[in-house]
Amino acid sequence: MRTVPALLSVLLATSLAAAGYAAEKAEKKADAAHIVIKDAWVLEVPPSNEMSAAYMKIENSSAKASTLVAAETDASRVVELHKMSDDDGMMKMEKVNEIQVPAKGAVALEPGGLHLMLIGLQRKLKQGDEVTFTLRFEDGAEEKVVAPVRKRTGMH
Amino acid sequence: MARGLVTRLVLLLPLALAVGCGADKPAEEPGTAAAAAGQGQDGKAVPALQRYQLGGDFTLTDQDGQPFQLSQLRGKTVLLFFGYTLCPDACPTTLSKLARVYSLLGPAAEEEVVTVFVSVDSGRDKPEKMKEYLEYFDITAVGLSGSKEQIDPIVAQYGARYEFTDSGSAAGYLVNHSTDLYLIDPQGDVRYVFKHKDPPDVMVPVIQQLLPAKT
Repeated sequence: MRTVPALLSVLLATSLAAAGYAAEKAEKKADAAHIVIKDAWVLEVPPSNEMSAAYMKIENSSAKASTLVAAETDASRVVELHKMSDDDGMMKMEKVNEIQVPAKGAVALEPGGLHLMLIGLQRKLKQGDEVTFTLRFEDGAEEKVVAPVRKRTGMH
Repeated sequence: MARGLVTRLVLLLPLALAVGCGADKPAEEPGTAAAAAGQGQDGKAVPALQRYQLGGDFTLTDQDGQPFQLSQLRGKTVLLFFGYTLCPDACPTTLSKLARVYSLLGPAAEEEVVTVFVSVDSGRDKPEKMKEYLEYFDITAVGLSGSKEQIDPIVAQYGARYEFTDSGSAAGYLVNHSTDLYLIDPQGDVRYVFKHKDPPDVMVPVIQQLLPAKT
């Protein structure tokens, strides 16, 4: 019976050591753990097009706002953050430097609004393909996203 | 530049008045094919066709590299809009929406209704690009392109707008453009201007007013 507390102490010591070791790594992971990406998809485009767009919902469960500052994928040369807006009947698209994800909130990247712009496609994108992205946040966190390629429907 | 702006305002003003909220119907000319719109099949009011101080004939190059004059389409109903092939959002949306409009109009529409997509991206959209683009969307359409000197007066004629912007993107310049879609009757006159947000079931009853009577 006395070996049980001894065993527990050993376990405790080991855990503490392991915890200390992992603490540094955990801190970085914790930031990323606050970010959840949902419903990501990439737009299928005509074969001759060199640009496409990716859409998704980014959720942030942290009490601190998160800022998406960059993204990359092997499917295109460059990924930029873009937004669309309707200026009195004129559709505008522009590059933005960051996308804010509010504390305990979410931001939706969707047609007609914010999106990732894939520039210089390295391969043809067809419905059913998958594209892997790495999203980078201002606090150093990184999120991997796997997004299917889908055709666009006319209704939104 | 100022002259262009004034021209655009002059062209847009009657457009703004005409499209308004549909409540003011301009006087119909005698013998106009379209009767004042009454009730649609589901009892909802159908927007009436209008008359505008914009539109008109022009010549550009089609997707086969041939000169194309809009008046070649006299006798057909035309759906015309401006955009560019790298447009990831508005233009694919419009073309997908039009595919739906065609299926709601029925098989006769394939012959009677022609889509005309005019590219304002004179720097990048050449006929071969237009051809590949339209084949992808599987729609009966004419894809027109040309030089900036050819495009600009046509854009102004139709009261449309576009601009090249350099927002430091790796894509090079980006293109902003108006999203109006022009319904042109078999005589070549613009009779309605659809907005980007108008869904197929709003567009179909308006277009049907220009088609030969169907059962």
